[in-house]
Amino acid sequence: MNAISVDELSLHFGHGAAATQVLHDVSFTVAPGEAFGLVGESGSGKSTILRCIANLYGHWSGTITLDGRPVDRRPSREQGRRVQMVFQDPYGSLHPRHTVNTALSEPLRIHGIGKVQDRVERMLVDVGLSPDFGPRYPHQLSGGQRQRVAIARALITEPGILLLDEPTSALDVSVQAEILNLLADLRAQRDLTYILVSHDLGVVAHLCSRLAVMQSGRIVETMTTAALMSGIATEPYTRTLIQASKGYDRALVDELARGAA
Amino acid sequence: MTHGVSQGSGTMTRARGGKGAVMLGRLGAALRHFLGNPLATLGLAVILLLVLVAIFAPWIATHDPITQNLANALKPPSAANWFGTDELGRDIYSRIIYGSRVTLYIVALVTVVVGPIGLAVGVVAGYFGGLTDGILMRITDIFLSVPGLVLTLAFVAALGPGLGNAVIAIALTSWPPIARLARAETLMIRSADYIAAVQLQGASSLRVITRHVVPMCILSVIVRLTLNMATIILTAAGLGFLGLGAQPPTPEWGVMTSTGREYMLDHWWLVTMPGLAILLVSLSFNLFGDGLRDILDPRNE
Repeated sequence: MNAISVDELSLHFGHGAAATQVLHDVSFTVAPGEAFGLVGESGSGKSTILRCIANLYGHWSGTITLDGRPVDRRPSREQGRRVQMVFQDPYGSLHPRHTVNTALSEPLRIHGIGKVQDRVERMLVDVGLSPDFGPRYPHQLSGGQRQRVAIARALITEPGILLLDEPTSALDVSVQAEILNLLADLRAQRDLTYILVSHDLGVVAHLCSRLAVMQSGRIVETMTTAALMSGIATEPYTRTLIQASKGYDRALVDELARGAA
Repeated sequence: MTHGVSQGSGTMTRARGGKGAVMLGRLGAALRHFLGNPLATLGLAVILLLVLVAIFAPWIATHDPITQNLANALKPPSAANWFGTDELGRDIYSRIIYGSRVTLYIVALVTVVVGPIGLAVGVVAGYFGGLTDGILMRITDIFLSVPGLVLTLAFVAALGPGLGNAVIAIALTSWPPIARLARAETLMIRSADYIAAVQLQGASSLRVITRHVVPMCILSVIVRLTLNMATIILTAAGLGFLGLGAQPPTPEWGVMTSTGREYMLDHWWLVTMPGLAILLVSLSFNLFGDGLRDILDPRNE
């Protein structure tokens, strides 16, 4: 049984003539314990898929199942125990007037889990922070520390599935690697299933074993990371993406400009 | 995973004091910032003075505010009657002192009623959106479509004159702007990732609203309520002046200016003294509100 199965997922924004389709029949599956990557340029619908799985959007069509069960259309407590999300911007995902302690104990209180202080302190240590961070407010933390707190908040109720929405793109390059290593360690320790959204092929290759390449709301190619690394991408868009990830290339820019003209 | 611990150890000692110390530190910084604004400090001082005067009125007043002494009517300010006496021989200074109680009573009661109502309507409308938002905001629009003072007059005319009815009428007309403000703030807050994160945990709407949305918009509501207080004072005095608010012999500033109007040409102190009191107090609330906005409103940070 797949941990996550997405079948023919479509999503529209707007009504009538103004409606735009942002996802076109997206289908993929993720095995339990697997780390699956979604890559693509800005606006290709990567983050939107995560928000559909987490049910922050409720009006999609298609089928999404988690551990074989269809997801609820609205966020629910029961589903909150199974799937959690880490957001892109650690400056916007922590409540500015809640201390780290409050932020981490809130999920426990929602689910009625006891020994709150104990669990909060253990979770802080697990994400590489000290329990002394408890009384701090988000504005007293660095970006990397904030993202650690956000990861701690997502994992404190011990969900099996973690949705990662560009968890490192808002961070300093030196901090990015730390967070990625933390995520890899946590996955090994807790046997988590990840979906990682990123526009950075390097990040995806580091963490994921399989990935899907997206363009304008469609999955153009699903492949293993090994295949990506050995350069046997079949779709032209994937090849462009790989080229682009190698840095600025005059020839590629010219080629793209010719293609556009 | 040790890098995170070492990364934070330099600043860790500062956080040892716990939540209380952090809060106190921020409060102290805010207070220093506030006291750096001389006008706002002046406003705060006048308001504190007003509260003290209202509490200790019987000790501060030199005469009884209601007992008439027709032999001593319309006397100009003197050592015996600091602000003079009115047409019934009552000491104006003592009446102004006791009048502060009426003013504070109205301001406090209206604010206590209007704050929670406006906040609740605005936050609920903004958070749920859709039909709920439509219904609540159209009701708010109806109240906003009539000029405030006219609507207040209509309510008092319907309810009958009196202090209690004046409070109800003012409250009925001053909650819509608060609701508007709370809704606008909520619309901004509800799309934030930290709200999505707590929704994802399966938190109930009540929990999201009370613990996550309200703490973010309560400060601007408080600032708005403080700025509203000056309007409340003026409206209450206006109603008293028109004979629809506090009734004689209650020593209310608006009523005092109204009766003093007849004697204004020959006996200026009957109107001037309560008029100055209204001016000073409403100005102070405005200055205080402005100062409060400077330190509390997150948009100015």
